[in-house]
Amino acid sequence: MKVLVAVKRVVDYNVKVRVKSDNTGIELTNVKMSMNPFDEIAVEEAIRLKEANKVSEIIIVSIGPKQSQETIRTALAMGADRGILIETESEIQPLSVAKLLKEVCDQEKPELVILGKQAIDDDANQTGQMLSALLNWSQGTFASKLEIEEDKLLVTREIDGGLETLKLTMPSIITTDLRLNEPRYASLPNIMKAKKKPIEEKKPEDFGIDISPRLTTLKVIEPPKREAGVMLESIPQLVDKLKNEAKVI
Amino acid sequence: MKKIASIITKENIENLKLICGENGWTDAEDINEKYLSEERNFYKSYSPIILRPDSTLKISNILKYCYKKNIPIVPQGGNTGLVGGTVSGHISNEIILNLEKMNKVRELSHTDSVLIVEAGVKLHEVQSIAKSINKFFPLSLASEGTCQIGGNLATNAGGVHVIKYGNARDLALGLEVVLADGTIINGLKKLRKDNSGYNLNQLFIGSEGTLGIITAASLKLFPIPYEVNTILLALDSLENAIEIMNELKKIYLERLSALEFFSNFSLEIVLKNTTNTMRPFEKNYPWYILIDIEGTPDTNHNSNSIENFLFENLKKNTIKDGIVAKNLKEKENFWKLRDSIPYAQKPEGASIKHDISIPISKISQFLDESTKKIHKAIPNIRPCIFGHLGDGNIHFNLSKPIQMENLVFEEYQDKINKIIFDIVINYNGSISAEHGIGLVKKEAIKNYKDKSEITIMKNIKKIFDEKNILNPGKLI
Ligand SMILES: Cc1cc2nc3c(=O)[nH]c(=O)nc-3n(C[C@H](O)[C@H](O)[C@H](O)COP(=O)(O)OP(=O)(O)OC[C@H]3O[C@@H](n4cnc5c(N)ncnc54)[C@H](O)[C@@H]3O)c2cc1C
Repeated sequence: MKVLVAVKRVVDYNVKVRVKSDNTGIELTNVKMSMNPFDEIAVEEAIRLKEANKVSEIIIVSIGPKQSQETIRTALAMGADRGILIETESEIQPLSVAKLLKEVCDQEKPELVILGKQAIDDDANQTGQMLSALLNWSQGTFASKLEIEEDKLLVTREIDGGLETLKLTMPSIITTDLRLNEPRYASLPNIMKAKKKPIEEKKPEDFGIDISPRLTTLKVIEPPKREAGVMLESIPQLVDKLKNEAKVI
Repeated sequence: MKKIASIITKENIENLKLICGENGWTDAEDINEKYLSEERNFYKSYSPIILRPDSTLKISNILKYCYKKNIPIVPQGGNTGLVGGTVSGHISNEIILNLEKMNKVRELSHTDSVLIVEAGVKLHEVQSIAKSINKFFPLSLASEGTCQIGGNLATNAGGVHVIKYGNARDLALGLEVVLADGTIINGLKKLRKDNSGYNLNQLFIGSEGTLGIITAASLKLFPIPYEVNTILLALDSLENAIEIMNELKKIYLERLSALEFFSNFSLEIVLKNTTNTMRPFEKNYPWYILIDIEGTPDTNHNSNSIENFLFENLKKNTIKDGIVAKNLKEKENFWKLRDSIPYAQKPEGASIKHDISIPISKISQFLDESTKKIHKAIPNIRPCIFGHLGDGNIHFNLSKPIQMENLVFEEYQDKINKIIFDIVINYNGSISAEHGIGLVKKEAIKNYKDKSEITIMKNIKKIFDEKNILNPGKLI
């Protein structure tokens, strides 16, 4: 069984992002970029399935600028088999990503696609669900546990008040939650092996897909600074503040 | 040096309280333990009051008064020092003067790349202030959340970036210091060059509070390094580690910003005693080195050339295994393994610690010889060896044998020290690479430092502090 994993190159989770002075986006010069953490979990899960002999090949797909190749290499160094880079310098939104992934699925015919539940840059949380709709495959989102039982997938999800387990008929789309696994380190011998693994390079046009954005970003601004708290002396003072300053009572 | 057996009267204390002003002191009965204990648990302090002044003028007035009344003072920073430098009540009736309320930023200049802060600002705050204007302050030690910049300068702290940026000494452009008689020396220059006479600032740096109280410092800031690559390597011999290090220094010269090493025992106790740590390799190896290499604007070029170097060595078997941090969280994880070692040693019971430096070419010979001799003296002793390999600075720490009582092990301290120090001196090393002398190594330097140097040091002490009221009995 083939697995396809989608990975995105994003600003590292531990970077404190700064908004550009012209409010068109965030500052990206000299900022550390890494694989989206949820995607790293997706890669790790695919590798564990392969190690358990449930999966024969892991294909990594990334859509984005040229440097996304490094992100694919990272996944290959963790243990994936080959990569496909769909290179574009333009802004690309979840629907376009889902459409491109659908094309790749049509060509590669995987039984399973694993994606992060969201990318930490736009936090859209849409691509997996859209892909499932476009392919008309079953979906298990926010997976915190994944098991394969013959031709079925058992997906555990954390929901309000407990855990829910779904049984899916494959082919399926899975999106990962944080607790699914702890990704492994990339070891030098594996990084060395990864250099020899193939990465196919494509462009969105090769698939005949129009990726022009459907949404326009008007402005990016910092969240308002939290004001420092004050200690009050008495209840009447509190009531007074609520009435006259906060104007909530 | 003259011993003063000072008697501190009620009146003295009341006067000092007046000088410090409201909230500027703590009475004996309210003193928090943290001011009276010290990291190594060798000494317990006694101080009739803790002074916590918040201005240079107040510190000057305190010293004027103490000078007149012969009251000795122990300057105290974050109290993370490892040689008992902040202990009071052992040599005479000293009073502790803690600098934590000297915590203001005086000046921050992007153009001059200079930050002027008061002595009590914590090291990690200094780092974040620099970061807030897109600059970098490179001093970095495992105690940075607690230690103060004044304490760092007073001990000439080293840390993990010495290999590229030097010791605390190299990062200060000027100091403001209050002398024993209360005189304020304002040397807060912002100059990169100044040859107008003896450099007094450098004399105060590393003087461990025995020549003056550092009240503020003017610090050098640097550009934030381009993306840093963090790599943890596993090796089967220290010779290979040194070989790799020398190659890296040759190729990357200016870009190598940290090169730390630790033994397998160090790693094992960290994994055992520290939460949220993950075993880095499937197998165990005798030695590990942790490397930070700063990138250049062309990031692609960076990781490729570093990787090629590592692959070559992997093929030659000079590196057994390695991991490369693929994001900042992993970088933190790798560093956590290194930074947790001193803390992870505590649950292992009593330890005897050495902070020594050896010429790099002699390190592996030194380790061979000393571990052999130590094992002969105490079979089953557990060496916990780690340190700043790039600077030849080894923390040659020894944990007690599992079965031995703490007190029994501590009895061996002098014997073990003698074994180690004799070998260190034989290899032209130093018995204190970065932690200083304080109270712990005061006797030892008498035997291991050149006699004429000690005489000059004593004379210098007399010039600055003829009454011996500044941290008496420490260092000299
Ligand atoms: C976990 C751990 C890791 C460490 N790692 C390192 C390391 O890598 N490199 C290293 O060099 N050290 C290291 N140390 C030792 C220690 O943190 C440093 O020596 C630090 O610089 C001390 O700063 P402090 O503010 O805590 O000083 P304190 O411990 O309060 O004082 C140290 C000495 O300086 C004097 N002093 C303090 N402030 C002033 C002042 N304003 N004016 C005059 N004298 C003053 C004191 O009297 C005392 O003699 C480590 C300590 C710990 C606990």
